[in-house]
Amino acid sequence: MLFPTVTFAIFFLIVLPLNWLTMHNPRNWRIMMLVASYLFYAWWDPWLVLLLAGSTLFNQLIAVRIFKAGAPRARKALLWVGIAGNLAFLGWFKYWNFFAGSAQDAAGTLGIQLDPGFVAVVLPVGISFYTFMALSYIIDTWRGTYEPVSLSRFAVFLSFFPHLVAGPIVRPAELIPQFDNPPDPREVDATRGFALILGGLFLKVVLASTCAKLVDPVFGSPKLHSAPEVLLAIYAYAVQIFADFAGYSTIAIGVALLLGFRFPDNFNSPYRATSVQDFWRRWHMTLSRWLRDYLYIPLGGNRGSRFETERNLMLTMVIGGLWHGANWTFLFWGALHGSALIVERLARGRRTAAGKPPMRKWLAWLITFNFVCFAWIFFRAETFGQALSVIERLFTGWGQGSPAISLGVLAAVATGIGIQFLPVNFWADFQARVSRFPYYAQGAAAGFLLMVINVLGPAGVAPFIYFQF
Amino acid sequence: MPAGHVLVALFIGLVVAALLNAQGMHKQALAQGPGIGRDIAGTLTAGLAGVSGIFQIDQPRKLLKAALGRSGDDKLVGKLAITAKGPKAPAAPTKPVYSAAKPMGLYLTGDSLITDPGPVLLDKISTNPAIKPLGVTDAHAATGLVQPEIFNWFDYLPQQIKALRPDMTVATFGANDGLGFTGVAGAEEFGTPAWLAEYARRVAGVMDSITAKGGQLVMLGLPIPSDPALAARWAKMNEIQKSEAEKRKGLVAYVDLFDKLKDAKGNYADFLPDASGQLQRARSSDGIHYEPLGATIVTDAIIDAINELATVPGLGAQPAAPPGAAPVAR
Repeated sequence: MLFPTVTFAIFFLIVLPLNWLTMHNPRNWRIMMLVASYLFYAWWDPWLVLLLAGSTLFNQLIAVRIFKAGAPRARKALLWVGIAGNLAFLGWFKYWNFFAGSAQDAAGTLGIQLDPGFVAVVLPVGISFYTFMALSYIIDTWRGTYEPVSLSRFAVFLSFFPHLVAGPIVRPAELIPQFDNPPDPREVDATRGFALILGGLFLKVVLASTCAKLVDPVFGSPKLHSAPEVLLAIYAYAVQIFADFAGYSTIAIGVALLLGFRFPDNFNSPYRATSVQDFWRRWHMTLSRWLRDYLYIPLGGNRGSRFETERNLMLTMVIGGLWHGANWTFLFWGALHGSALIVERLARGRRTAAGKPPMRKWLAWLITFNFVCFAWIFFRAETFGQALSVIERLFTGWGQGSPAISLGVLAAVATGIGIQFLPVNFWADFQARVSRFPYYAQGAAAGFLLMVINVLGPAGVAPFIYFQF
Repeated sequence: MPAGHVLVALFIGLVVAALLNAQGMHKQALAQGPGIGRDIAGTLTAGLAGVSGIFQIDQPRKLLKAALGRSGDDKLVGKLAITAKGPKAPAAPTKPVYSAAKPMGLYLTGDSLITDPGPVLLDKISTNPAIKPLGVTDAHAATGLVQPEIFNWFDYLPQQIKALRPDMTVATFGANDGLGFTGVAGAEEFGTPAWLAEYARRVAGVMDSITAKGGQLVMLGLPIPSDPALAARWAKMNEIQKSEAEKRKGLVAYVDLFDKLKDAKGNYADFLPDASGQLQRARSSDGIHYEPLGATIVTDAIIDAINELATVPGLGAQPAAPPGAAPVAR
């Protein structure tokens, strides 16, 4: 079930009252929410529910066993079984064909024809998100920072439909306690919830879909496009992927808020970052902190030598890149960001040592933004050849017409970048003003804005990019 | 805000949005495949659109659409503008000859199945002065001849042919057509005699509108898909396309992609041998679209078909794929 559909609107109109009617009885609420979330997930393909249920049972079993095991060695062994199980689960569905294909290519260059046994599996939607959430649960249990909860609580945590298919990646300690401390039904932060849902829809339906109209043909056949078209398409992709993913996250946070639950923010104006480190504090924040807490710091973080710190940074970013998809281009994208973080670290150290002031903010922004956009080329391209073709056209495609550049795409790119620079309190102030209106007026205004969003979006909304991750 | 007010506000918002968007929703409802879902949605949205129209609630949407230059978006497709005049006889007697001085205008269009072979073909011919690409691949994903509500090829193609005047068009339709017919006039389940006759009429209409100004057409058949049930449907549609193409011999060449993309045992295969005999992935994980090797195989078949219809210097016949490589199971 997709958020921007009539099906979801009907689903939510049923689930919302059931949510508040059962809230006073946590057990009934959990049953209701579990059924609703599994129905939401089964809408894609009913068999996916079996995978989700299997992951839930496996991780609950591991967490309980870790908690009950006394000996540290036994606890650690169980943790590794849990991690291996989750990674095998993810690896089979997401990475098997990639590794098998890479092995086949490598064997082919040696003149060996290899049949590694490719599997015909469709990537289950949301698998990367809920697997990472399940890993949080067992690792936090092992660390002793969180105690396992009942199976029904954990099942609702993992399957809670607002975050199920594309995050945010929520921690057990952030969400599960909210299940047992029901929010006050007299004080729902509905104005913010409605604003987030409408804002997310605007990002997805209008900005992302409009940008896709230029991005898809340019990346499909870069040689047939002029350098200005290619340049604009690169910036348009930066806006598209932000609007697509931040749009989904924003809707998810808004939907959860109407149900009475708070999710952590996932984006904070990432394109106003003045360094790559700053960018990763603003982009997909729940993934960044997951990688920091469950990978970078356990690897040693910045506690070791300079080499070890740089190695840890690079490993974290490369694995983060591969999390996005089973392709060498994703791995390279991660390595590009890892390299940039290392270079930044070195440069910062040298400047500090030399007693020089930090780089001017506008220059730092310009460099960061263009680096991030450049790296997106490899993220978007399906092959290195395609990425290199795009880059080549930037240098060779001047002096010809650019009919693919439309006012709509220019406006979408300008809006997508411009909204990053709105004052920090802009939306909070706006919501505070709107919340003074009576609820029925807010509902009617939301309906009108839904119509405007629907009309402004081009025909046919492209699928959510992050669903494939 | 109390939870009860949230629910009322949400309900009001959705009702207001539904009334304001009623025309678009009705069009979308009719674009669904035949079945009870379409019938219910069609009836409900028809009522909604009626109420919206009577009370002029649809005006803001209409005004906004007009301001964006997209007034026709919500227009329902009634009678299709099919210009099929039947096969021309006799077929074009001689193959047209193109050269650098008189290049062949090439237009690539269709649904998502043209998306991958299109750029490969344009890349291959990019240095051939005897071929002039008319724009980039004009693909409209998730469209077809069965659901003009989603995208009306019968209106669009004559406009494109008039504007571009292509000498050679490469087109593919049908990947989204294994459905019942829909529209304001009603619905017809897939595969019935009435469906087959109507589909043949639509395919003929497309072929005639593309060749109406003297151009030729390479009609790409549907490739063998991984799903056997879908393959059975597509085989029926391919029969129609092939039959209509044969009626227009010399003007239209049909490319059989079931054969081109089968493995040595005659089955669907994800992996096929490339030019050097090495097995490579040819089809996407959806069992329908193409990976680079699949797109190359289709492109080579297109070039053969162009050579069958016209004489284009520098566009040699394509080497056949090495036969007999063992298929790789999915």
